[in-house]
Amino acid sequence: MVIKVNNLVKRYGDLVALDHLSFDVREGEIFGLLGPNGSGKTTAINCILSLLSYDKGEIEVFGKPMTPESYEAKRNIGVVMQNVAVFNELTVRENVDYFCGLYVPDKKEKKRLVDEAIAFVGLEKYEKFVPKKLSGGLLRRLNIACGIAHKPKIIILDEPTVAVDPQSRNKILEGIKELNKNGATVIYTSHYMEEVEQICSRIMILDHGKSIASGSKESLKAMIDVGEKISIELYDLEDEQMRSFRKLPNVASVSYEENLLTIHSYKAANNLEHVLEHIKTHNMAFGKIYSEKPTLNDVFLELTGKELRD
Amino acid sequence: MYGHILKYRLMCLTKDKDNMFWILIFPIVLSTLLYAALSNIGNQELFHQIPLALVAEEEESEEVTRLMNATDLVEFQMMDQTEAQASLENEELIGYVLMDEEMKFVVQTKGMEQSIVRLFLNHYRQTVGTVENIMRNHPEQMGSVVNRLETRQVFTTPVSAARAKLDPMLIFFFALIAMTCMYGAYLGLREAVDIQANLSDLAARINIAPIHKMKTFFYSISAAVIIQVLIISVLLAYLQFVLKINLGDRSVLIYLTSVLGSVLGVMAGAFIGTVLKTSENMKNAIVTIFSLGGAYLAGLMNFSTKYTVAENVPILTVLNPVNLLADAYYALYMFDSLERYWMNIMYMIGFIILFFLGTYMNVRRRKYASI
Repeated sequence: MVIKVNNLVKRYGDLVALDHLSFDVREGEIFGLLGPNGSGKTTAINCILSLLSYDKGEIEVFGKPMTPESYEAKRNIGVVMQNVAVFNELTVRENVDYFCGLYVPDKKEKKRLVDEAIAFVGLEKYEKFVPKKLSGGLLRRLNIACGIAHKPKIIILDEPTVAVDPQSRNKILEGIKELNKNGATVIYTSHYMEEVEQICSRIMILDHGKSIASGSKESLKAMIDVGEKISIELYDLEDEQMRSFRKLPNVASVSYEENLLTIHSYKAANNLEHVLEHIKTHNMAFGKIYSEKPTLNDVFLELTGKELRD
Repeated sequence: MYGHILKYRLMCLTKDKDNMFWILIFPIVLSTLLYAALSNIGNQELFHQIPLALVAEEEESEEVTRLMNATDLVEFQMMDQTEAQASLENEELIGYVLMDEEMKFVVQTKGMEQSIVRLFLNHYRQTVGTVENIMRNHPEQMGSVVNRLETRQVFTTPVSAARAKLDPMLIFFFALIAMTCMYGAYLGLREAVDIQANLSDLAARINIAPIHKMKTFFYSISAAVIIQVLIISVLLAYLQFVLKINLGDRSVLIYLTSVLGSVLGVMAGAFIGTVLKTSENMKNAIVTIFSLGGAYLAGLMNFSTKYTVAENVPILTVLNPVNLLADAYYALYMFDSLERYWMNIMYMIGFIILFFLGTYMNVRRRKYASI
């Protein structure tokens, strides 16, 4: 266990930002904190980093209580903030060098690490650029380089892909996987369920400062009754025909809009097979058919009654 | 670590173009403009000879010659009456003296110069009348009378309490140097914002690093002081060597006072940045009011403001750090005694301690209630 959070409570006046939150992060994993904006992800991270005071609970990092003076623990933590936090007056290289130098006093070693970090995020061509000359995606990459240059054992990334183009996002996500492969334990917070699903080995879903579920993505999906969503392109479907789909086994709901029939099913085997059989039996003309497995959004929806993106 | 942080803080501060404009360029431009606009102020106080025409039938008579040589106050020109009247109407002269049986002084308007000439002419006529009377009635006493007139005793001698004559322009420049020192507050404010995790993301990132926060802050503040001292050195050199302004002969004390002023400015900014719970923009605005407003009250825009404030709201002269600094320069320039100078320095040190303690109490906080 590299991080252990126990019964953490953080209040802002009457608002409870973290409500008896407990979780742990294991060495070598990518741990995802998933939740809508305002669910308490960043607050939890700031408490772990000893930036924020909290009302109750304990936090341990590398088996020791975390305090602002836990310099040994801090030396092994790298943080990529939600907002880009770099000096506007310094170039890409100078920024990475500055932050790396706060952790690594040896000049030779620092230079090597800075070179590696810049290469890792693919900013070699932009070394002499000041931040305002960089695009949003490149700026995010610089933000990451500043956080990871000193090769920390724990890397905390707080929504690192907000407002980033798809190309840069993929590069960032691939980079995180690589950091993890190289031995770093990663804590990744996001409200993008696709990202969390894509890279995290274990996920905790947060809402209103509470943990509502945690586990692997498979185990989370196994917690809910929702099965796959089946979408069929059907033309001129009459009300009677649509109602006939509702009578099929395991169908939870049916909707028809713009020649697209959508069937939400309960978790069970052979749902798609029943639907295809029904179409064939009633000789319906159809176009595309596709089936989607339940997502973390479905998990969130079932557990909280609202969409994750709300 | 000190060298690493210091190097990058120096780079950040010197590359901050907005700050550099206000702290370095603006005072130099302002001093140049002030110099261009005010360099004649001192000279305006010098006395100019009063232009006057003398109208006499016999231009080379003894009486005319005597009058023309009687004083340096007046610059006489011989004219005929028509010419003199025309010059008077064209305001080329303030009046003319018509020498006939009775000496007449013809003017068009009344003013200070006309009054001076009238006094002079009255005195001249009385003296001449007295001498003529003695010559007529007691010619034997003429020698002693002439002796007395030639050896007039001066009973009052003007003595200045000051060691130097103050050029009013210097009040502006002392206020300008003081204002520039106080502009160090922008640097102090920047350092305060960059060290407190609840004020900026950058500060949060720095707080996460394995370095004691107060050490980081001390390193950063020392960078701000170094920059500010360099800036004030450039300004002093510019004033003394380019604009050739004589700031007095106590150069070392002037420089040391400026260094102290720089520390005061930087600490004032750090204090504003840490103690006030408001946005960074608002804090910047407060720094501007603090430094520019303080400079105004210290006489930057109008040197009489300094005296008006001292007369009507004397407490402001002590509560305004810009005035303390400007007054310290003034005292160095004007007085042999350093009593007034040290008084200002003591108040400034008091302010530095106050600002330091206020800043320390806020910066030392290790965790924040909200970010």
